[in-house]
Amino acid sequence: MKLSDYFDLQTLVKRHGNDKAALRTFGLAHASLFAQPPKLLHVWMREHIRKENDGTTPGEHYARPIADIAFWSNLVACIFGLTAAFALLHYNGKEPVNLLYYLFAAVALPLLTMIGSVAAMVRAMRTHSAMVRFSPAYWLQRILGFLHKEKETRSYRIDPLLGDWIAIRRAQSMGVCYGIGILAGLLVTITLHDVAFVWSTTLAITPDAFERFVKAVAFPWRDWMPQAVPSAELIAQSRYFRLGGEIDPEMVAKAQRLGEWWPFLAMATAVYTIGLRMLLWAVAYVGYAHALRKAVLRIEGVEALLEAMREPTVRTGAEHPNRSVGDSLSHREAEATRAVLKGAYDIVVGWACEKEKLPAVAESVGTSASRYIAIEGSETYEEKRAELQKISGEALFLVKGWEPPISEFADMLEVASEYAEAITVVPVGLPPDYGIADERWLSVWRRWLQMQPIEKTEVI
Amino acid sequence: MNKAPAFAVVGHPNKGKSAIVSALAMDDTVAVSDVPGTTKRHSAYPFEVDGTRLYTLIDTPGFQRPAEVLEILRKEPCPADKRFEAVRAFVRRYKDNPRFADEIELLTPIVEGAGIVYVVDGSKPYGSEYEAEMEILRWTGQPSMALINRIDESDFTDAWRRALSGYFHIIRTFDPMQAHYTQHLALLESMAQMDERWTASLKRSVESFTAYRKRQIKHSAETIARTVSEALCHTESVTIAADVPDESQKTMLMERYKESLRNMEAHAKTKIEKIWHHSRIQKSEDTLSLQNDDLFSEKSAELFGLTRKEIVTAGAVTGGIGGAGIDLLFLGHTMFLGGIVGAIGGGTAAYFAFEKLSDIEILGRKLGSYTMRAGPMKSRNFPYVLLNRLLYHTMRIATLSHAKRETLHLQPDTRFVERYLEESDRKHLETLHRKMRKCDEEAQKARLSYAEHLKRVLERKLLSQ
Repeated sequence: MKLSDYFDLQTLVKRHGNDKAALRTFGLAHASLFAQPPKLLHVWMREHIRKENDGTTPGEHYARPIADIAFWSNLVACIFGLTAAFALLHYNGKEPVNLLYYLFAAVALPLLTMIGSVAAMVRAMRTHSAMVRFSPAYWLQRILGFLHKEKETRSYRIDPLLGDWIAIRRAQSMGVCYGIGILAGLLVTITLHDVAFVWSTTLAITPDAFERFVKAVAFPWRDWMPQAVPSAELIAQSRYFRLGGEIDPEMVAKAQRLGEWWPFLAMATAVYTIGLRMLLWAVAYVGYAHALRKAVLRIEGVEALLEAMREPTVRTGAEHPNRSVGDSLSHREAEATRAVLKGAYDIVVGWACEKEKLPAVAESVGTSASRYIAIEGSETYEEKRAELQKISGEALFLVKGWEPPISEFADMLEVASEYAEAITVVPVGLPPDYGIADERWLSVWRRWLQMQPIEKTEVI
Repeated sequence: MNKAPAFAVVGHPNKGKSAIVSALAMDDTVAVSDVPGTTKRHSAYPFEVDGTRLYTLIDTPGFQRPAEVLEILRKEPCPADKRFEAVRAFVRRYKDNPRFADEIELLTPIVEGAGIVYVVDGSKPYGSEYEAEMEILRWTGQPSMALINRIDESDFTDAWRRALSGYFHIIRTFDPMQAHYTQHLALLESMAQMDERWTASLKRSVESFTAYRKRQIKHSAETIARTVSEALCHTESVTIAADVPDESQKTMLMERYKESLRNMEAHAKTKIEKIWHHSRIQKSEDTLSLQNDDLFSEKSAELFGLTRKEIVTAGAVTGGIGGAGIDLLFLGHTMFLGGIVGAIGGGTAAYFAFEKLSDIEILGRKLGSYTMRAGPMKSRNFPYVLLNRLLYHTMRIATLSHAKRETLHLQPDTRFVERYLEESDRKHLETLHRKMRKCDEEAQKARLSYAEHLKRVLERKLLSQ
């Protein structure tokens, strides 16, 4: 994944992130990539990315200045290195060149900045680094916002972690270019000029000590390139003091030998300034790639996008909402006239009741009758009809209040109404106490009868 | 591949068939009423994963004339192997007869292959009038199970079990008003036993349902974390002419700030309800009170947040941990002064910040006017209050049956924080609250960690019931 993809993804997530069905369809087609979210996102992006007229994507357009800035900053670093080399190796023949200056600028200074880079990397890996904010590259990223005024790209955000690693990576590339510049400056100078190198210091350093230092610096190549390691004799001969303003005649006589320092200086530049920096550059590249992957996953909406791809879409609920709703009775007022319970009836009919219990149930509601008939729940329709034909006078129907009235009962009431003078329906409560059912159940029965009135019939 | 199973939920009217379908299908739009005959037609409630139907629940009207139907079926002698055909013939013959409209509606899915889930009310006595409908269902020969649903307190379950065992091999109890996740899964597993051809499909349903439940928890945790984080960082500003605002301007700004916080909470609650498929919920609850008297009162702290003592303790612990880090850095040569100073500093800061809601600040001058800003939140107790209100809401909504239609009273009656957050949770949350208050990149990371922590808390509670 490239930096431009990071920007393009921000647009695409906003544009297509809510189409859950399409995302899941895509996810099912690319299930093998579920364990590699950045790759999955990359493939998804390729399917949705739209190129501009110039063949670039908005993200590429937005990221282009970063590449441009990188190019120019590398060029500037290279020219700076070249200029620094020319300045440090400037030699007019009156005084030799102190190679310690060169070593400081070409080796010590870059090594110091490399330590800073390593510290920045370690810090960036742990948390958001404040150090990197001092890097010019970081601020160049900020400038991008001012360079792009398009509506789409104006909202692009750079994850701070990614910003840090962009800066760290750019710093390493600039360091490499600086090293190349300084090495080129050295090679050009020694090719076009005769340069006499000496080492000069106020510190009480003996040639032996300096030799140990030089050997230590040359450690990486001293075995396979001994010609780039100054000899003890050369080191001793190169010691220089400016006192008196005159050059030691012996030194002048051996001026050609003083030039033999250049392979050592070139190798020191190549190994420390360029080689080590390239190593850091590679590390920075890995860190940058890791940060980019992390940043991609931290884009607002990406987590939900990946979830929509990976998680099955679950649909539960009505196939045709509200299809089942019938003519609800619950909103109708129960205004039906209520029957008054009498002390005695001509006949008590027990609906779905056992006959032997009927007198007791009737007593529990405060009434009685001279005759009792029970319509058993298990009887056939015809058997029930036959029983109901025995009704005469005023009839009391004792029904289970907790059982809602059904059409079958309405059919039987209609049959009964042909033979009875009046029918009172009394829903009873639960056994063993029975009694009149509670108001909640009574209201259900009343509303039911109100909806389908039956001649001569009332509920108490 | 086998066709996805369908289950016709059938029974006497008003025995909770629609409530069971509503609870199992997580659909609060199903018409549930105590009035018989509310359901007039059968309705399908499919459970689909990635567009693949795993099973379908079918809500049906109740039997209205079972004895007459059974009489018609029995008119002609019919051997057992021809009974299914007889029921099918009945459905064909009477499909346009309004007298048997309800029976036709409920028998149609069964003769088309649906399994039978026969629902009875275990809180009412068994009666022989049920035998006709059970016999009709037996005639169909379709795989079946009986569900005993106790609508009220009384218990006649044993009598029902004895009666049902003559007609059904599988008998289960299920209360759609109280049934939680584990009962829901258990019922699906029972349904899988009805016919071996349906086992694979229902097994996948159980897996999908479990995964979906976890996603709902995750999304709820993320919603809560985001709301707390945004509320902590929220600011309201107005432009004023002078650099010293009058009291009315300050009051107006503070009221606007509080209103925004209330809206954030209300928005989060609606989102949580949507996550749990409660789109038609009727609720009564108090809005988030941000009056000092309410927010910082002992009553409020007891219900939702932490007392001043608890806040100070949490602050001291957090400061102490930070200080102890310094001690560790110096290998203890600091004589643990770092930890002591950190604890004192953290505790003191928490003590003084306890009653502070937010500062009102005057920001820099711009084009001759000033900006007055309220926020971000200073109160140490506020995130706990908001968190616990949202956690409480999530717990109630997540465990609320979709069959419930009455108004939901959201009034916590005990120390919610103690029931749902353990001591270690609270310490961790205090650290995260502190980080989220910074409103920077670290705060975003803290928010993710916060969501993860809340997810674990919710999973602990919701996946076990």
